Amino acid sequence: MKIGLIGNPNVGKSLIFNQLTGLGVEVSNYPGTTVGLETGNVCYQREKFEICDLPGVYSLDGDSDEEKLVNGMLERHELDLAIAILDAVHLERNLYLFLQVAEYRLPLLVVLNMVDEAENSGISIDSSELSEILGCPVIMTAAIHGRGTGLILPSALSSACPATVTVSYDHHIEAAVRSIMGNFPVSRPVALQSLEGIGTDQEMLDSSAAIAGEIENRHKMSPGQIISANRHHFAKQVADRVIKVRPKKTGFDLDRLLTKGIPGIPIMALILIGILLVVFTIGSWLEGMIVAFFTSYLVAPLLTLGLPPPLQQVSVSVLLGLQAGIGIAFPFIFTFYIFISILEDSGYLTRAAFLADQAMHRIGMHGQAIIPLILGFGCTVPAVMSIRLLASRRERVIASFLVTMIPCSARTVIIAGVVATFVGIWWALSIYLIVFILVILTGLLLSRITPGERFGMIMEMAPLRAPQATNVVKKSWRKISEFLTIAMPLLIISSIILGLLQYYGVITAFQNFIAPFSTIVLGLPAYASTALIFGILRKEMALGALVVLAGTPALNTVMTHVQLYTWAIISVLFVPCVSTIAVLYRQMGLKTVVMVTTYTVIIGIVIGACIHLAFA
Amino acid sequence: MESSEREDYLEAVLVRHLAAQAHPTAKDLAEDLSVREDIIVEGVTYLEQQGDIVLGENGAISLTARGHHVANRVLKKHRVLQCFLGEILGMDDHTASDEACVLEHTISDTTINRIGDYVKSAGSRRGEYGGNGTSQTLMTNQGPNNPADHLIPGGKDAKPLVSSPGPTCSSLLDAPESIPLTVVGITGGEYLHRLIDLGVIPGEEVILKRRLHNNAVVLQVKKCDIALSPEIAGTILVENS
Repeated sequence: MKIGLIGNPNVGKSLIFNQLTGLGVEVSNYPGTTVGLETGNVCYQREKFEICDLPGVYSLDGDSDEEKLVNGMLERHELDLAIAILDAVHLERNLYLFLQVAEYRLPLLVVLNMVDEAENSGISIDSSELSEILGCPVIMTAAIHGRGTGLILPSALSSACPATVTVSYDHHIEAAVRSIMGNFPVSRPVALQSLEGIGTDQEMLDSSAAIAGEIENRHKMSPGQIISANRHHFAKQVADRVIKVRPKKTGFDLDRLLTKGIPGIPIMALILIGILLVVFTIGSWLEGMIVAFFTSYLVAPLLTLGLPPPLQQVSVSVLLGLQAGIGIAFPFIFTFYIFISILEDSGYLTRAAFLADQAMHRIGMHGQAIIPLILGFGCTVPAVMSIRLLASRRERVIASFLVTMIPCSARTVIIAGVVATFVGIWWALSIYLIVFILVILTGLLLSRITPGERFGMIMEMAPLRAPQATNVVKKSWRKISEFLTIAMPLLIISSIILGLLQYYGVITAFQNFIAPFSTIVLGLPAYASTALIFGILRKEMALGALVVLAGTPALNTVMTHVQLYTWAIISVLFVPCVSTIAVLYRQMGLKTVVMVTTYTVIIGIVIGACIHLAFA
Repeated sequence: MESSEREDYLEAVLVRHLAAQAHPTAKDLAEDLSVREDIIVEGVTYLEQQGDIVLGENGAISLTARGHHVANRVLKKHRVLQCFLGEILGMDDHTASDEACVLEHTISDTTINRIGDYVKSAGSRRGEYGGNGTSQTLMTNQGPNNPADHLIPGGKDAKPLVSSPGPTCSSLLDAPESIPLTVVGITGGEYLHRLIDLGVIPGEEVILKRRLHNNAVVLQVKKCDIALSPEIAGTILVENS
C-alpha cells in the first residue's frame, strides 16, 4: 500500500515523514527543501506500508518539475491513500491545493499541522466542522513537538475516505467539463486540466482548446484563471466558516528589523561574517588536532613498519585521503552546518534572500541564489547540492560557476596559513576582495551570455521560529554523511593515484615539464606549481604539499612575499576539488563541469600571471 | 483549397463512413455539404493529389491514414463544441451542430469576437450595480462578472485589460505600505500562474508589508508573506480598499 504526503511547501511534510518512518529526510524552514521523491517503508500492525514524501507544491497545474511529479502520481493513481498536510496558520491558502487534490477522489486524511503556532497567533479551527465540509477525517498535530503525529497512521488506515467536497465552478467551465467527459473517457480533474491546456491526449487537448477559446472570449480570462479564482473563493468560504480568530495583542515583530534595508543588511552581514569567523576559529583548532593525531598515531607508526615501498606508498596515500576527508569534514563543514542549520530552521535565510534579491539580479540570478552562495563559504560540495532549489537551468548554470569560485573553508585555510601568516592580514583580506570582484564580474558576464528564461523571485517567507537542537544536529549530521559518502571514496582513490604518480616519478617529470612555465609566467618555483596539483584533492592539502616540497614550514625563507601571494591566489581560484567536480557532474552534467573547470583554471593562471607581471 | 474546406470534406467522408460502413462517393458528399457535384469532384481530385484520400472503384472515397487523422480530429472538436453550445446557449441539437460546423475551423473569429464583446459589455453593465461575487455564500460559484474578470491572460502578447481603474490605482511599486489594498489586475508574465496559485487574484485584499529601496517587496496575501522581485511587483496593480 502506497501512502503519499501532499501539501504546500514548508508545512512540515518532511518532519512528519521522518516521524512516521524514522528515516532522516532533510527538514528546513524554507520552501522547497524536498525536491525529489523520498520514500520509506513502515510496518504497522504487521503490515508494510510505503510512505512517499512528495515535494511541496502550491497547485497541480504548474509546469515546474515538482508540480508535474505530484500531478502525475495522482493522475496515474499511484497512491492508494494520501495524507494532505495543511498549515493551520495559513489554512485558506493551503485549502486551495487541497480542493484540487480532493478532485482525484482518492482516500484522504487531512492533517492540520502547526496547530500550536496557530493557537499562539490566536487562530482556532473547528476541526469537526472542517471534516464535515470536506467530507473526510481531519486530525490536528503539532509535528515539531511530536503532538498528535502518533495518530496519523492509525487514523489514515482506519478512516481515510475520498473527500466529498466539490468546488462548483463557473457554469461555462462546468458545461465544458461535462462536454469533455462526455466525449472522452476521463475523470473530472483531467478534464479540468485539459481545459487549461495540460494533458497528454492531443485529440482531447485540441477539442478542449476550442472550448477554452470560446470561454476566454466570453470572460476575457482563460479557463485556468477562472478555475483558480473559483477555487480560491471556495477555499476562502470554507476557511471563514471554520476559523475563529481571537484578537491578539501584536507583540514585537522581529521582521521589522530583519527585512528593512537598515538595519536588515548590516544584521545580515554581521550574521554571515560572524559565522565565518567562528567556524574558522573552531575549525582550524579541530583540524590541527585531527591532523596531528593522524600524523603521530597512524602515519608515523606505518612508516616504521618497513613495508615494501609501493605498498607503503599506497597505505600512506590511503591515510592521507582519509585525513583529507575527516580533516575538512568535521572541523569545518560540520561546524559550519551547525550554524547554517540554525539559520535554515529559524527561517532567516528567506529574509536574506529577500534582502539580496536586487544584488543577485545584477549577476543573473534572483534572491534565492544567495543560499548556495552562503553555503559555499562552508564547503562547495553541499553548496552545489543546494543549487537545485533554483528555478531555472539558467540560474543553476550561473550559480555553478559562482559557487565554485566562493572561497570555501578549505581555501580560507590557505589564505590564512600562507598570506595572513607570512605576508600580512590586509593582504589576506585583499585576496577575498579580488575573489569577490571576480565573482561579480563573472556573474555580470554570465548573466549576459547564458541562454534561458529569466524568472523573477516569488518566494514565500518562512515564518520565524526557534530552531530545535535535535533537528539542527541531525541535519548537520546528514549533510556530513552525504559529504563523506560522495567525497571519501574519491579522496582515497585520488590520493592513491597521486601517491603512485609521485612514487613512479611522474610528478618529478611533470615538475620538470612545468618548470619553465612556472618560473616565467607565474614566477613560482616548480615545486610550488606541483603543490597546486595536490589542491585538486583537497584545497588546503596544497598547503601541506607545499610545506613538504619546499622542505620547511617557514615558507617565507624560501619564497618571496609576491610568490606566496601569487601561489595562494592561484590555489584559491583554480580547479574545484575532486569532490566538487563529482557533485557538480551529478547535479549539472558533464558540459557544465568541463566549462566550470576550464574557466577556473584559466582565471587562476591569468590572475596569477597578472600579479607576477605587476610586481616583477 | 482552404484548410477549413479540406477539413469539411474529410470530416464528411468520415461521418458517412462511420454511419453507413461504406465508402461515400462525390455525389454523397455533394448532398452532405450542399455543394455542387462538379466542385466536389474538383476538391476530391485535389485531396487525392495531397494524399488525404484514395479514390477506389466507382468513385468510392476512402481516407488515407493522414486524412483519417485530420478528419478524426475535426470530428471530435465538432462533437465537443456541439455538446458545449447545447449546454451553454440551450441551442437545439441541429442548430448547435450547424454552429459547431463553423466554429470548428478558424474562420469564425469575427463572430466569436462579437459574441465575446457583447458578453463583456453586458457583464460590465451588471458590474455597475455593485454586484460582485465576494460576498456570496458557501457553495455558490463566482459568476462571469466576478472581480477576477480583470485578470489578464498570460503570454507575450497579453495586453492590460484593467477596466476603468480608479484614481487610486497603482502598481505595487508605488502603493502605500501597511494599509489594506485590493488587487485590481496583473499585467501578465511567465510567473502569472504562480501568483494566482498563491492567491494574488483581482479582488483579493493584500497588504504591502515592506518595500526595500531597491523595490523588492514583501506582500501579505492570505496571511502569508511573499517576497517578490521588483519586475514582478511592478506588474501587480492595486488600489486602496
